[in-house]
Formats: sequence, structure tokens, C-alpha cells
Amino acid sequence: MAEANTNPWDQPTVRFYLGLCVAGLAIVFLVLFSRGLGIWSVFPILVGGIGLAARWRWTPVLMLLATAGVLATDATAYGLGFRIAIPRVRFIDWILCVGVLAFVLGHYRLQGLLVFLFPPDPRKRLGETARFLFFFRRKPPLQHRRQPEGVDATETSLALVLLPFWATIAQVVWLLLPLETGRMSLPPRLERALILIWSLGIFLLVCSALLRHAVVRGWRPDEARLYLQDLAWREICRDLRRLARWQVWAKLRRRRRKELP
Amino acid sequence: MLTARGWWFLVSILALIAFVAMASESAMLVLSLTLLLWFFAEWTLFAYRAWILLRHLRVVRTVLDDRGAVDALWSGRTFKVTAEVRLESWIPFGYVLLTDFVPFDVDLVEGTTTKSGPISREKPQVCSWTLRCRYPGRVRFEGMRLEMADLQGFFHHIAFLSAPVIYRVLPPLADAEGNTPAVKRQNILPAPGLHRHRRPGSGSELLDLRDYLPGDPPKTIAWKVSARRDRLITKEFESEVPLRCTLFVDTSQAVRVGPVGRNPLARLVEIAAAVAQATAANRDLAGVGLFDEQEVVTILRPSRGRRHLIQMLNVLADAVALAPATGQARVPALMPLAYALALEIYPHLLRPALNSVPFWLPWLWAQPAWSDRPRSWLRMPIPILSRLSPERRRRAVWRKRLAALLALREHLGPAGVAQLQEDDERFALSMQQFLAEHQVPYPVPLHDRQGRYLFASPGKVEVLARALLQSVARGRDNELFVLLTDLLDLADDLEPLLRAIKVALARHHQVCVVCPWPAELPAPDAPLQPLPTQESLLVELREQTAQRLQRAYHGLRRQLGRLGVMVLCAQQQDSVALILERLDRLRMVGRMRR
Repeated sequence: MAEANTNPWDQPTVRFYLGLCVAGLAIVFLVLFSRGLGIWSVFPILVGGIGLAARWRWTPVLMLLATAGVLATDATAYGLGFRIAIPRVRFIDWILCVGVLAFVLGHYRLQGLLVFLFPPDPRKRLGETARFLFFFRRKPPLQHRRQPEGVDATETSLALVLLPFWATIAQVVWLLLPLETGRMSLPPRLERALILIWSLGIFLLVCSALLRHAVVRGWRPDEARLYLQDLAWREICRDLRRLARWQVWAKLRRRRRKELP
Repeated sequence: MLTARGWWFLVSILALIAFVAMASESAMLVLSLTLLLWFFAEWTLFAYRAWILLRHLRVVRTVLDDRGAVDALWSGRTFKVTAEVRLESWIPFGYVLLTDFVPFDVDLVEGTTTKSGPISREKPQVCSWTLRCRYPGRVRFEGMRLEMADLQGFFHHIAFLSAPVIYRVLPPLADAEGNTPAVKRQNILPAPGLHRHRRPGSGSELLDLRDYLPGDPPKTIAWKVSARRDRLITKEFESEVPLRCTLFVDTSQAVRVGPVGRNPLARLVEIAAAVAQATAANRDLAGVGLFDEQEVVTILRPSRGRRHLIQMLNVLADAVALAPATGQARVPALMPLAYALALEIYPHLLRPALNSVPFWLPWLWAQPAWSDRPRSWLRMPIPILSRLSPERRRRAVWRKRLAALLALREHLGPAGVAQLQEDDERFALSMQQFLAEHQVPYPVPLHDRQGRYLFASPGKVEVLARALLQSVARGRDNELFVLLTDLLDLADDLEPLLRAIKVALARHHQVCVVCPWPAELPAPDAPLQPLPTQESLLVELREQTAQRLQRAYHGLRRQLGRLGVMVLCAQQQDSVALILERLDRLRMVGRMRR
């Protein structure tokens, strides 16, 4: 799936996502700087900027880890301890979330437009494998990326609207989560971790159960018949196998006897 | 469904949450929650599209020529194919990559078979390309392959939009001489009202003058000629009874050997189609009968008209699409083909949720001794270790899944699954049927393990003889029966057919036999050209085969020539013209008998 020869950087969509990433980085820098982190505020920006220029696939994850690391090592501002000593909702955190999400979303969409969107198929390569004696070198697999011309304004506007939306939802969830009940006789850290894991797990379970139910209700007739056939086969496969083998054995014996002079 | 990109992102977020849950930094927790919620939302939307919205996609295919949409194609001509993917829902589908499959034995002349972009109700995706059919037969369009991904590349799903459509590919058009025209020179049909049949009858065109016989009607006396010759002379007029020609085409396993479209059956069908078109151009009646080693499959009694001609061409085009099948085919050779086809076209029926394979199946269920399985290097000297090989596991999984799919298609139920797993012969036949239905070529062995040739089909002689006798019983006067069949390997079993031919000849009909001939060998009387290879075994094998076939051909000609039956070789370029010339002779038969 070789793509056109047009320069993707000329496309307005690509420039939009690039601008989104830069804006995200700027917001993150401002938030970190306003928290008094000083020169350390530059570190996540540097990671994100270099990754963006080099089109690294790992850039969002590295930038996230860099931000988390900078915030985690800043223990002097909030003190070490097991109790969260600050109010649970802060506008500055909301802005940080918007900035990071903007960078992550923008970067992955840029990857889809400039590098590849679908996982490369190892069966389709850019040329024949080069061989020399016992050594061989395979050509890189064919990569398919999105056409920037096909992107419409709805997608970009929706992306901008969703950034503050998810940050707000996260703040709401953060408020509703009972991270410190005081009822479990466990260390607060462990209690927090357990509550988070259970909440996420229950949420995931409910979503997947609802989705699975919708999928099963929408099965086609051949899929439903195959499921029932497979269910019946699993129940009585041993007996069916025995019967089938005897039948084949009898057929072969009959044929051998007919062929004998 | 998750790609590597998605997995790494999810793992990083979860690791971050696990870390910050133990720490005291709320900003990181909220940040991680934001990203996680966004990821779950994307996953939910993608899963909805992949499993629920996918069912609302429809493929509408059209094949067009210069004048518009067509229902059948013609061999050797180009046609434009358009496949439109429509969404019957208000929710947009997202970004997809569509690939249209080019059927086998069809050439892609122009255009591309892939299209990418979003699909919505207002904007369907259309893929169009131009094809050329090489051979008559059938062309099957399976549908379109769909690859979908979210905009970030976190999720990926491959599905197949099944929309099977079969088009007949009719043999190329021929002229009144049986030649395929390169350029249309003139109208080959005679003008309405002018219908020449050169045998005496009660028409209006003068055929000949003869002496007066007592009983001739007075109105037929040619007075001027009688006065000149001083004796009574009677006018003889042309007959208006058209001639009838019945073509019996052999569709047994013997003529199906070879790639579909290039086997002896294809050549016989080309000849039959050319003769049918040429006789139709002369306003004569033509019929066609297809037979195999068990029964007469189709019989179209001689008739005329454009609709009858198209019906005959449709029947012949369906016959070309028949593929050879034998229970002796090797399962290890067919299974990779069948599984790959099933994976492309029926991926939803190979999912573990619907088509499960117990983990213990490859290890605890040993294949019986009579089973056809490839040699594994682990079998000897430690047979127990062979059960642990990944190749054995893969074969067991493929076999179970294919058996379930084939049992579903043939409505066999769970017992059929077990039968297909244990019976190699039955499984091989089912796979061949599956591949033939989707027009995928597959290898067939020509000989069984004892060295016996599998495609002789001796039963067809009896069937052909019966069909010929029935046609003679129903027939009128002076018909031509053309037998397009392979009799070269059955010289010793022709007694029933010879009897039937004698009956036909006794009723004053004409019989003509056309035998297929291998394309790589020269015509029977032509010298054998040397092969461009030094391998003596191949050269020797070719010479022996050519000599054997030539001996059989000449023996057949001698045997049938004693009865006055013309035997032709299908490889000859003028075989159609010779058949038409024999048809013309029939017009003179009645006159010569007087």
C-alpha cells in the first residue's frame, strides 16, 4: 500500500495535530512551572519535543513517565507521608490533564498520519529478500498510513472538545472514589490501591459483559449454529470419535477385502 | 484487537496508576485516570464498531461493459467492476482499509483493488477496477476484506464483508464457419425469408430438375424445359425442414484433469459452443447434453432461437467450471489451502469462541495408522515426543476448525465434525468441494497408492450409449450427433457405445466423435518436437506418452471408421469447420438416396 508522493507536512490536518502537541507541551510546562518545579519543568517538554521531531513511537509513554517522575520526586512541596494533605480538586491539575492528553492524542494521531496506522503485515514487504550464502536480509514491511486529505473538520473539532471533557470526567471520578474509608484495617496506601483496582476492575467487567451480550444478540444464523454445534461436539466428542474410527476402519476393511484376489 | 502500540500504552498507564496509588501525589493519579478513561472510551467505541456496527455494512457489486450493467461476462473481453460499501446506520464507521479480491483466472487490467477512508451513511466507499476473463466458466466474487483501526492505532480488527456473486463467463462468439472473428466484417445471418436447405422438400426455392415420375403433382412439371427436352421434367424444391444437431459433451472426471479453464473440458466446450453458434446462425436446430460417469447431467433438446442459444452457452459455461475431485487426494496438501481460504473469507467462523479446540486435543488424540500425515522428525526414534511438536498442534487445530466449518456448511452436525476428523477420504472430498466452490485451484493426484490411474471414468461409455439411444428414439430424420468425449483410454470398453452408434447409423443419422488431445503434445499425425531439456527421463516419458496416445487415437479411428464415423482431434484448428461440413453433407443425403 504505497502512499502518494505529496508531502504530508503540507496538509492542514497534520499541522493541526502538530500544533495540538505543541500546545499540550506548553500547557504542561506552564503547570509544572507554576507548581514551583523550576528547571525540572523543562524535562518532560524536552522528552516530548525530541520524540515529536524524531517521530518516536514511544514518545507519549516516555513523556508521561517523565511528567510522573518530575511530580513524584517533588516531595518537598507536599511532604512525604501517607495522607494526602492537599484538596482533592485543583484547577491546575485539570489544566495539566488537558495538556498531557492533548500531547498524547495529537502525537498518536500524527503517527497514524506520518508513519503507520495499521500494524505492518510481515507477509507484504517492500521488495525481495536479499540473500548471500547463508545470510539473508528481509526488506521492511509495507506500512499503510492515513491520507491527510481525507480528514475532515469534524474530527479535529471533536478532538478539541474531548480534551477538557475527559479531564473533567477524571476529576469527577476522582471526587467520587472513596479512597480513604478508614474502615479497612489496612495501611492507607494499600487501601487506596485496592479500591482503585476494584473500581477499575468492576467498571471493566460491566463494560465487557454488556458488550458481549450485545455481540451475542447480534450473531448471524451461521455463527449461532456453529456455536451450538461446537457445544454439542465438546460434550460428546470422545464417543463420536470412537464411533467415527470404527466406521472408517470397517470401510477400509471392506475395501481391502474387495481388492483381494 | 489491541495492537503493540495499544498494549504498551495500557501497560504504562496501569503501571503508573499502581505506582501513584501507593504514593501521595494526586495530580499524577488524576492524570493517569484521565488517560485511562480516554483509552477505555476509545476501546468501547472501537469494540462497538467492530462487533455491532460491522453488521450494518453491505457490499453492492456491479459489473459493467460499454452499454451498462451485465448479468454474464464473455471470455476475452474487458469489463469494469465496481464494489460499493454502504453503511446502513447513522453512526459513522471510522477509518477502514478495503481490499477487493481478484478471482482466479481473471486478469486485472486497470485500476486498484484497495480503497481507504472513513465510511458513513452519506459517503460510501467505492472501489472500481477493470478485468479481463481468460477462459469461459464462472467467476466468483467473494466480497471485500476490511481492516479497521482507531485514529490512534491502539486497536486493529480484520473482518470480511461476505457478498458472494457468481457471474457466468460465456465462450467467445463465433461466426457461421465456426471461427472467432477478430473484426466483424458482415452480418452472418441470412436475410429473413431466405432459408436454404439443400434437400428436396416442399419449399419455394428451386433445388433441381429431374425426370417425371408417375404420381408427381402436375403443378411441379417444368413446361418450358419439358418442351425443350421433349420429355416431362419435374421441378424439385428445397426442403423447409431444418437439420438437427445434438452435441454430447463429456464432463466426467477424465476431462476435468488440469487447471480449470485450460483442461480438455474447456477445449471441448469451446468446440461445442462454436458449433452451437454456427448452427444457430444457419437457423438449424442444435441441442446439447452433458454427461459424466454416473448419469446424464443436463439435456437440452434441439431447438433454435436466441434464448435457446444463450441457454446452451450458459449450460456449457457452467460445465467448464467443474473441477476434478478424488477421495485419494492428500490431506496434508489440501489442508493449508483450505485453511488459508477459510481464514480469509470466514474469519468469524474460526474464532475460538465459536470454534474451540481443547488444549489436550493434539496431545491425547493420536491419529490412526491409516491416516495420511506428514513425516515428523520426532516420530522416530521417540514417537511420544512427536505429540509435543508445534507442527502437530497446528495441524490438529487446523483440522478440527476446518472440520467444524465444513460440517456446518454441509449440515452434518457434531457427528460430522468427528467423521471429518477421522476419515481422510471424506475430509479430502469435502475440502475439494469447498475449494472448487470458491474456484481455488488445488493439486490432485493422478494415481493412487497402488499406481492405478484415478481418472479413467469407464462408466461414462454406458451412460453415453444410453443417452445416444434415447436421442435416436426421440429424433427425426437425418440428425447429426457429435460426441465430444475422451475415449483414448477406453478402447477396450467401447462395445455399448458401438452398438448405440450402429443403431443411429441404421436410422440414417450421422455420428461424429471429437477427442480431446493434450495441449503440450502435437496433433496425432504431426512429428514430435524435441523438448528443450537434457533430462532423459522426461524426454523418454513424453515420447512414450505421445506414442501411446497416438496408437490409441489411430486405433479408435480404425474402429469407428469401419462404421463410417468421423473421428476428430480437439487440438485441430479446423475441427469446428469439419463438423459443420458434415452437417452440410446431411442436406445432400436425401437427394443422393433418390
